[in-house]
Amino acid sequence: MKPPPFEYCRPDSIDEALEALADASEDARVLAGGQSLVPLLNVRQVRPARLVDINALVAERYLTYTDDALAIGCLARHVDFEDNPEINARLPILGEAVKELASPAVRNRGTFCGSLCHNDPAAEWPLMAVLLDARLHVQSASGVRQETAGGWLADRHSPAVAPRELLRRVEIGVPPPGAGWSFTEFNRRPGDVAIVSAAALLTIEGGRVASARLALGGVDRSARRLHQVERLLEGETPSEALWSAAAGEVPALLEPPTDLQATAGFRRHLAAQLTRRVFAEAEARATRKGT
Amino acid sequence: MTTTECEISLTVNGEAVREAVPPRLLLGDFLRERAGIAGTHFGCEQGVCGTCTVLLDGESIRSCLLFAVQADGCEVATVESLASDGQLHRLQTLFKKHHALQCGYCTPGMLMTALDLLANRPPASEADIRDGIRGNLCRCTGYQNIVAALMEAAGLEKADGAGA
Amino acid sequence: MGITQGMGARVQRVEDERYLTGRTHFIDAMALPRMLTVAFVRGGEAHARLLGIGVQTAAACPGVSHVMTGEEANALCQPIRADRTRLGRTHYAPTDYPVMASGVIRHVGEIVAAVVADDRYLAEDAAEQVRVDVEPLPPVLSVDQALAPDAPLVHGTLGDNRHYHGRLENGEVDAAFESAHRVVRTQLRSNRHCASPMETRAVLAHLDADGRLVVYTSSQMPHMVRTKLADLLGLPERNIRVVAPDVGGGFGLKCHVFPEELILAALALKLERPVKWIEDRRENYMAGFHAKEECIEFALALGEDGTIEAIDAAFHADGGAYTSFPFTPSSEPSMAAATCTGPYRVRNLRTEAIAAYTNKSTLSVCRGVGLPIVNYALEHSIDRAAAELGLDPAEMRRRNLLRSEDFPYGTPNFTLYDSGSPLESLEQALELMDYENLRKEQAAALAEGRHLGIGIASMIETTTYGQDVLAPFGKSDNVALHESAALRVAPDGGITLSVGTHSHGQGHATTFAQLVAGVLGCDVGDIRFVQGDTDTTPYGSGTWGSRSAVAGGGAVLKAARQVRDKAMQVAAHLLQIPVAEVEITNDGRFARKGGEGPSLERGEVARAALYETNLPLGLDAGLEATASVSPRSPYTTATHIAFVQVDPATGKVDVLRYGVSEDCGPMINPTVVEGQIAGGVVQGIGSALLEHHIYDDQGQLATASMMDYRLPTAPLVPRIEMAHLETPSPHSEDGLKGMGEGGAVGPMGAVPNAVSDALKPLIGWQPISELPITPERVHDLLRRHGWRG
Ligand SMILES: Cc1cc2nc3c(=O)[nH]c(=O)nc-3n(C[C@H](O)[C@H](O)[C@H](O)COP(=O)(O)OP(=O)(O)OC[C@H]3O[C@@H](n4cnc5c(N)ncnc54)[C@H](O)[C@@H]3O)c2cc1C
Ligand code: FES
Ligand code: FES
Repeated sequence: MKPPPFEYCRPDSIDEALEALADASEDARVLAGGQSLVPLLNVRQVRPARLVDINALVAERYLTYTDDALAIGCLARHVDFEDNPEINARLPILGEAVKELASPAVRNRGTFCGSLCHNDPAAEWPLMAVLLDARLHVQSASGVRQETAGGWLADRHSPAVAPRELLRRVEIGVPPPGAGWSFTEFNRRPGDVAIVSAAALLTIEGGRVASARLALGGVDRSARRLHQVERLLEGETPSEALWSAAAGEVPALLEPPTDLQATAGFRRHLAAQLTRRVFAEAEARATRKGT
Repeated sequence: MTTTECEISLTVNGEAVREAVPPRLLLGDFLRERAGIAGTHFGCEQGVCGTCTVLLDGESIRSCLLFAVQADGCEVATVESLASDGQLHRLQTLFKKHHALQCGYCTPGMLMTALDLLANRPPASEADIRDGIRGNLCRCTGYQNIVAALMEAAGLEKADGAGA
Repeated sequence: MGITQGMGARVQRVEDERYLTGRTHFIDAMALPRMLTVAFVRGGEAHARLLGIGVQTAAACPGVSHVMTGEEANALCQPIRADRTRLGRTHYAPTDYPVMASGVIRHVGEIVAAVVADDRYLAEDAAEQVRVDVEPLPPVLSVDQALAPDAPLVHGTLGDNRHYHGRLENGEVDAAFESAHRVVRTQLRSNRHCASPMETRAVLAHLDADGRLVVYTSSQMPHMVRTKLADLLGLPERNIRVVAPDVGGGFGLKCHVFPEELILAALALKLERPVKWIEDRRENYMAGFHAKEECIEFALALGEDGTIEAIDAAFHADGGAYTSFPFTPSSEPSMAAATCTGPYRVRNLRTEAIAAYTNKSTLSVCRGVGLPIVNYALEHSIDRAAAELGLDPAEMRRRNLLRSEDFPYGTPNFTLYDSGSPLESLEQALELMDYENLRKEQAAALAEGRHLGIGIASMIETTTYGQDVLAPFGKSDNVALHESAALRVAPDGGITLSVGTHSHGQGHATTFAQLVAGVLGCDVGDIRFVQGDTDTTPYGSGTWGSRSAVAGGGAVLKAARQVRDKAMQVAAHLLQIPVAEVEITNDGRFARKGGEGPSLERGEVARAALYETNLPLGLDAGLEATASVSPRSPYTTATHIAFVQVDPATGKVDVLRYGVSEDCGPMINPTVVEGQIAGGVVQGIGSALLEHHIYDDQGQLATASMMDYRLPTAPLVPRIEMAHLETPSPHSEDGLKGMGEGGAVGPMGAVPNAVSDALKPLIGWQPISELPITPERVHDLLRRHGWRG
């Protein structure tokens, strides 16, 4: 299990990186944390002609906040979200999610953006990106474009790589103050990629659901929102029964895969179970307004 | 830009090393086969088992998922760096005291993971310790005595790893 | 010092430092000048005719020295065979196991070529260029399919797919079942498992200055490897040296002789350069032997009070592609059948054991061999019987377990249990876990909607595997059952101990030294321990089957006592007192009993013996002895209790607590014993809950990485609680028993029992009919029995 040969470069600037991606005659890939790419290289499942190592772009390792968003640079690593007081204050759901992600050594290297590019259907960051309506800034030698997480992720197979493009930065909307949140995932061992994962956001006003968001992982080609369920909840009175009813809607909306870990049927079942749990927990965390 | 050799210089356990390496050479192979520092092992080459864990600039990483070229200019520390002047590091002494190794194959990776854990993610409970080594597989010990050693290292209530 | 470091002392291991500091001699760390590296090309097909192999492109790749194909390899090396005699009416059909595929590929991991290159990277580049032309044949992928009348044949020269078929009937089985108050009949399937030591297999072969073949191999049995190399390569055995250096775990995988070892040796001989192969994990899972996959039918005939009147059991193993050596696919089912009455009083028994060839990796031994399967089948049946009879599982066991006074006990399997304490161990385990309170906790949790379960598993562990156990299976044709130890005292009094067993985690450098320390009154630090090198250790079959303490340790004790006796004679002569008056003091000196007068250091005695100064007439020079023992099999008894939580909504099982009471006789070093138990239990929990090798319907291994073959991790298991009993064996040196495997046995019964117990309030007691217990299987079980949540 040794990687095939490739060309290697480690640019010192974004421009150089984009150039190196653009002028490759064949498949060039970004090498970020390497925690998904190198395992694939080691079994020769991928054979990029060139690796463009972005690890020297240290200025791209940042988490910065605007009023309503968190900006994540392409070299921000999983570890940067761990025990991070600012994250725990503004986006505690990210602090929860990172605890489920792999193991310390993998978190020390792997990047948030790399995870979105790799786009494992049950990975934590893509789930967070769709839940929190992330905006993706994708850059190439020919320019910059923006994508929404939903659009970007749904389009892509795993591993999702934009040829000659760099996912440079992701912006995540900070939920309104008082929003209840919850994240949970079901796996066989802590740190394994989930079989099914779920995350919810809930705002409650005047004793009713003002807004609801539900994202599920492991049930489709990539993490996805369940807008039908979200719409169903808006304006309703929060209760265990409501969450059960929402959960009851979930299985029919999914076409999950069957694989070594679970059948489609069991994934549907888990999705419903986790849906109920995340809404109940989000409700408990939500600050009730206007009652 | 090259598929052929790249010149790298790095520090391994405090000593400067200069070598020309092909870009695809994994750091773990570099350490064993080029630098002659052979205490670090591979168990899966997929990032799963943790036997290959070393410190890169003080943080634990998988040496099966990093190319040696990427360590250019960095400081790498392996299990060989722990003991000094013939004195075992405290963690090593505790591993011995608690019988935290059997075949010893996972031990180097386990020690380097534990160093990172104690320095960068201080555990507050046995559960934290178990969670902190969840990326390191040991097929021999059932983790029991590794956890006991780390409990003592972390200054937590001593788990009676020695049994009854 | 000697006394405090002898038998029973919790001595810290003397071998630890080199592992802790990375100064180890695992094969991955070894390099020789001009060394080449090997990568194997594996067939990639479950079953196919091999039409041709194209190696030209590969041979022309950069850095490639040679590409060896089956034609060449099989001409240089005879196929591996494990023939047996004295099998009576038992059907036993071994295969030729060619080192590379010959004509037909029989599983995806089978070797078709070996590429030798400057390094592993280049070797893999070239291996990709080897062209393998095949014509697919229909694969046989389960034991049921293999035994069906119209099954394709895995080996065309054999009349059917049976590798092994043994039967036994003793007593009035049919009558017992007819008159039984109740019959509990259960069908079960155990999962395909693998040992998965953290160090994969590894071999380095070269020729030394005298042209002798030297093979370093990550093996549990270097002497057996040497014998087979000589035999199959046609070399004089004296011209081969096999070294098993530091070995990163074995668990039964590495007690076989493998094609890779033979091929590397053949390559070293041919190329006259050192060649090295480090197995990668994918190969380890595809081509390393597997274990445990069986279909089991298990029936208990029960009296009204719960007495087990008879057992009728059938074990059908999915044996994989070839007959391995020395242990074969027959080992799992035959040992399961041979031990299937467990620690219970049972008079009437019928068993059937089959191993069938299939197009999967060979199924052979792994920690526990057969015993984990029995523990699953028997203990689960006992709990089912208890549930049906309305008895507490502990009470059900009390009514059937052997007690210490029942030993020695002859089983209907014609084996003799020497000693043990099954009932006492049950009581100790119940106390350890505070069973009554546990039941209360369970009831309280249930009231809050949490589902806790308690699972008990009683067990008896065959250890050492002497003639008494193995001869009926003809296994003794292939494997030495004695062990030897050689002990030499140097002029300075330092001791060198060399043995034929192989410690790869078991701590022999310490425990064997403790045995010597107990006899000679020395410090463990005075002893240099040597193992693993056929040039410097006495012949033995290595470490497997929980045999090292009894066979190896027995030989060590015997050798140490011979040396002591001689030293006493020399000392008596030097001190000019009668031998009967000499004793070894606490600090290892030779003195007159009572301590009066002059005394001698061990070195002084050794020098007198070596330099023959004043040696008493008739004594040979030197203080050394080589001794061997050929032990019978002592039995270790134990009780495991698992306490689990099951989430019926998701099917998830969490092990909250786990306790073991074990009686392995006198413990040489309780810390080492406990380390073995903890490690074994966690492996067993892995077998019960996680580990599973799965082939797809084309016979491709779907779980060929550590991502997919899930080993237990630290957060998944609790601290294992332990208590001990120490009943000595009447027929081993110092009453020693083995214990290395037992930890992995009990969880196979205790965990399923705990899960069934937890689900009982929801669906009644239902058997867990398949391992591992995945969340989805728990979910399906609940659904099947009408629970909707
Ligand atoms: C043992 C193990 C367990 C793991 N468990 C989990 C888990 O539980 N949950 C989880 O989410 N992940 C898990 N991972 C994966 C880990 O999170 C990876 O870090 C992540 O998926 C990819 O990020 P990376 O920075 O390592 O990307 P890389 O491996 O460097 O790249 C992944 C892919 O994305 C491309 N790419 C990376 N960055 C960019 C960019 N900025 N622009 C364009 N393309 C880019 C690469 O070319 C490549 O194709 C695990 C990994 C391992 C080894
Ligand atoms: S070898 Fe690197 S994690 Fe297993
Ligand atoms: S001690 Fe053997 S793998 Fe951990």
